Parts: sequence; structure tokens; C-alpha cells
Amino acid sequence: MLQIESLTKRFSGLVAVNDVSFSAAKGSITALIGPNGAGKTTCFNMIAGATAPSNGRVMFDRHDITQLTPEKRCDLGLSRTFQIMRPLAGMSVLDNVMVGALLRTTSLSVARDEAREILASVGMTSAADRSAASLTLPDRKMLELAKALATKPQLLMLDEVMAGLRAQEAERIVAVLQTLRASGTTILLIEHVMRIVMSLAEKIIVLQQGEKIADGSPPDVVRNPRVIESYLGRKGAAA
Amino acid sequence: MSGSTTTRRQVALGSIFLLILLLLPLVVDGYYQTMLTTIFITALVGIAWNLMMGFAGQLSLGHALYFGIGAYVVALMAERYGLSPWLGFPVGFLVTSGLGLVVGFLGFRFGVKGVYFALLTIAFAEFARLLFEHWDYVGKTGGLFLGSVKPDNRSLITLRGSATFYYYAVLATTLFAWLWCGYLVRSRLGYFWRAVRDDEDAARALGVRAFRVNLLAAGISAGITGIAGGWFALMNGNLFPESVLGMRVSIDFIIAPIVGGLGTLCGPILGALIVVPLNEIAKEAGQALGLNGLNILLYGTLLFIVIVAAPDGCWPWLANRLALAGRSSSKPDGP
Repeated sequence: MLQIESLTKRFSGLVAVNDVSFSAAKGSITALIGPNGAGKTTCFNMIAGATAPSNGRVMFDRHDITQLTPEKRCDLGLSRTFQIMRPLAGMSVLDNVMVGALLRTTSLSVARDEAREILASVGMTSAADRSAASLTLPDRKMLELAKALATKPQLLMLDEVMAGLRAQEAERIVAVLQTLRASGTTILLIEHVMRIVMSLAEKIIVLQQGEKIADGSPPDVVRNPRVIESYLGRKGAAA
Repeated sequence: MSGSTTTRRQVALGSIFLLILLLLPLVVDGYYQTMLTTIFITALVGIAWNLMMGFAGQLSLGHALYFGIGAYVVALMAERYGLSPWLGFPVGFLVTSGLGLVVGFLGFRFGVKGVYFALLTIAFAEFARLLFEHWDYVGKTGGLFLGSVKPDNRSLITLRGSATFYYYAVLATTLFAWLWCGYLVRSRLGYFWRAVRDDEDAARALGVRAFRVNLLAAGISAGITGIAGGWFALMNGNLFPESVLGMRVSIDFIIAPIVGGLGTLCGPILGALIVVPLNEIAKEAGQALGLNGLNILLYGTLLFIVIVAAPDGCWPWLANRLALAGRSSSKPDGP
């Protein structure tokens, strides 16, 4: 579904992402992990089209999408959330989700119904008419997810949607993601909560200082000496 | 929910307001009719400008460009070629919305945003003013004058006539533009405008084609402003580059929507009702007292008061008082 080929990003001298390649199979969950500053979000931005890569290719559904705008990629079925949440602050929660739904329909009433359904699935029905600017942090995270879902993605990219959430709220998102996977949606996530990564992901990519140091199934990755050394630490490896 | 009662109140109060405006010329003389027509023109440009600023989030400080070009197109076609403004208005609309698209294209294509976009719009307006001030064909700084209305004039053909004629004609135009904009901001496009206004990158991540959506706002806004300019030309009978294309015109027109309320449909109308009479009073007071520029001082004071007392503008405040607002204050996009 998604294939990254030697993706590289240089910011005037600093190499944020260096020659990273990996792929994500259709209907699977792939996690991108690594310490702060490892280049995860930069990698994400290049896949979503928010940042142009210095080198390399992004293949989506066997098409080269490296040159496409973010909106075109979204149209093709690639949707993302932002690590620093970006609610459309002047609009209501429902309207926020409707903007996403309106990508696939010209009918406001269809979009409104779809948006209500999605809000229900992430447990935000009661917040539908509130201003997006008034939401608490967990609700903003949920709204990010709801907006992305509204565009009916084939590939959903989540940048730390579960960071800072209480266990119960995180469980709700995990349940939504499992349902999505079951329906054939491919998911790529950046996540720090290792417990969730281990239980959800089929495949883990570990980045460190812009380079890929491991790529494999969760058990393989946590046994990898380089990963233990640089990221998990001895305590993480034991978990 | 009280949604439908609110809607009924909105329709009822709106109809009463319109009825008053329709009957007003029966009781007020030409002087006040002309002043009211100026209010309508100000409201019309305010509605158009607000579409860009309040709904799509693009700050234009050069709307005089569209106002002035619209005015000159309608006037030149009528005066030089004897063509009816019925033809002049569509041409004026096309020319000015085309200009809006050009300015928008340059801004949006090359990522010129915010203050820099505002500077770009000023530059274009000033360029047009300078061009017109040195262009023989349009009468240079000496201005362009429409011939006096003939005795056998038929207003419905020449679109020129008495103060009462302009009153109803501009009222109808403003009403039409208001309904059109109301429809647009509630449409799919309106959702995209507000999304782009709030956060362009987030909107694009949701598949909103920001470039196209922004261009549409600029084109429609410019076109409506051009129509307003055309009415100004017909009503005034004379045009000077400074009086329709000048920087001052751009600034004057944005005071009303700001005072009334950005991102609201009624704000520009309420704003015009406040700003235009105040300006007239201040001008007269200034002349009587020999204090030039008193109206500018008053403008500043008014803006200051509004910013402190009602930062969202007067309309959201008034709408709350009249119980016209929707369920919560979270919807600044109500009528």
C-alpha cells in the first residue's frame, strides 16, 4: 500500500531523515518509533506532502506521489493527523469533521450524517455543537482522529494521537483502530506508548538520528541490540 | 431545540427591517435617500470584502482597485460608447473579478500570506490609481464626468435617474449580494473557506483545495465590489482616480465590516448603518467648527471603542440582545 524509497530530508546542513526506506502492507498497522528528534514527524510530513523530500520517493498504491500536494494525496486516500493538534478553531466540532466528509460528497446533509456517525464512534457526540477551540486536550486528540477518518482514508497516518491520554481514552482509540484495520484500512502511527505499539502493530520501524536502525515484527525489534541500546533501554526490553 | 424559533425570529425581524427600508423613501427626502444609498454601497462592499477577510481569511487592503475599476468600466461604457449599464455591469463584474483572480493568483500561487498579501493588494490598487492619474483616455486627475441625465431619460434602460431610483436599485443589488453570500458561506464552499481561514495546512490535509477555494473568494469578492463601484459611478456622475481608487477608499470600506463584525453576514450592513452617518455628521461638524479631519479622528475613536467593548463587532452583540443568535456563541457564522 505504502512504500518509502530512500527518503532523505536535509535542512541546511542538518540531515533530519537519511535514506529511510520501508513499506506498509495493506490492512496492517505499522508503527514508527524512536527517540525525540529521530525524524519521525519529518518522515510523516514527507509522506503526507507537507514537506518536500530532498531525495527519495513515496509510492502509494503503486503510484509515485512524491510530487503531489497534500490535498491531492488526501483525495487519493491518504489522511493524517497533526502531532500538535490543529482544530479549525473558529468552527464547531461537527463542522470540523464535516470539512473532512465534504471531500467525498457534495451534499451537506450526507456530510453532516457521516460526521455525526464518526463523532459517535470516537465518543464525542455530546461535544458536536461546541466550539473546537474550547476542547480539552484528549478531546482535541479525538477530533484530530475524527477529522482524518471523515476523509475515508485507505492509509491513516497518526502522529502521537495517544500521547497524554488517560488509559481509558487510549483504549477507545485502540478499539477504533482495530475496527479500521479489520475493514482493510492501512495504518501508520508514530507512538511513544510502547504498550500500545506492542499490542497493535504488526511491524515496527525504529528511527534514530534520522536513520532507520530496525525494521521488523515487535518481538524481533525489542530483541534488537541496537534498539535496546539507543531507545528502549534495559527496562524497556524487559517489559 | 430552539433552533426553529430562532430562525423564525430571524426571518421576522429581517422582513420588518426590509419593509422599513422599502417604505422609507416615502417619508425622507432626496438628501437622506442619497445618504442611505451610500450606506447600501458601503454595506455592499463590506459584504464583499468580508467574504474574503471574514470567511476566507485573506486580508485585502486594496479593494479600491475593484471599486474604482468597476466604476470606470461602467462609466466609460456608458459615456464613451453609449452602452447601457445593463451591459456595463456584467462587463464590470467580469473585469474586476478577473483582476481579483490575478491578484489572488499571484498571492496564493507564491505563498504570499497575511500582511504580505495585504501589501500586494495595496500595491495593485496604488498602481491602478497612478495609471489612471496619467492616462488621457480616462481623463487623468481631472476625472471622468457622465453627461447630465436627459429629460426623456428612462431609468430602467439607462440605470440613471433620481435619488429614489438609485435608492431602490442599490438596495436591490445589496439584498441580492447578501442573499448570494449567505448561500455561499453555508454551502460546501463556505465550509472550505472557513477551514482555510482557520488553518490552511490543516484544511489541505483534509483534502481542501486551498488554492482554488482562495481564488474563488477573491474573484467573487472583487466582482461584487466592482458592481458597487458601477453604482457609485452612475449615482455620482463624476469619477476621480483618488476618489475611487485611492488608498483612503480601501480603508474607508473596511471600517464598516470590522465595526459590524468580521465573519458575519449582517455585520457589514450594521457597520455601514453606524459608520456612514457618523462620517457625515463628523464632516459637517468639522466644517462648522473649522476642524479638518474630525471625521478621521472620530473613525479612530469608534474603532477603538468597538475593539475594547465588542471585539467581535457590534452585530454578534446586537444579535444576542435580539435573541437572534444560535445556540451558542461558538458560531460566529450565523446571519
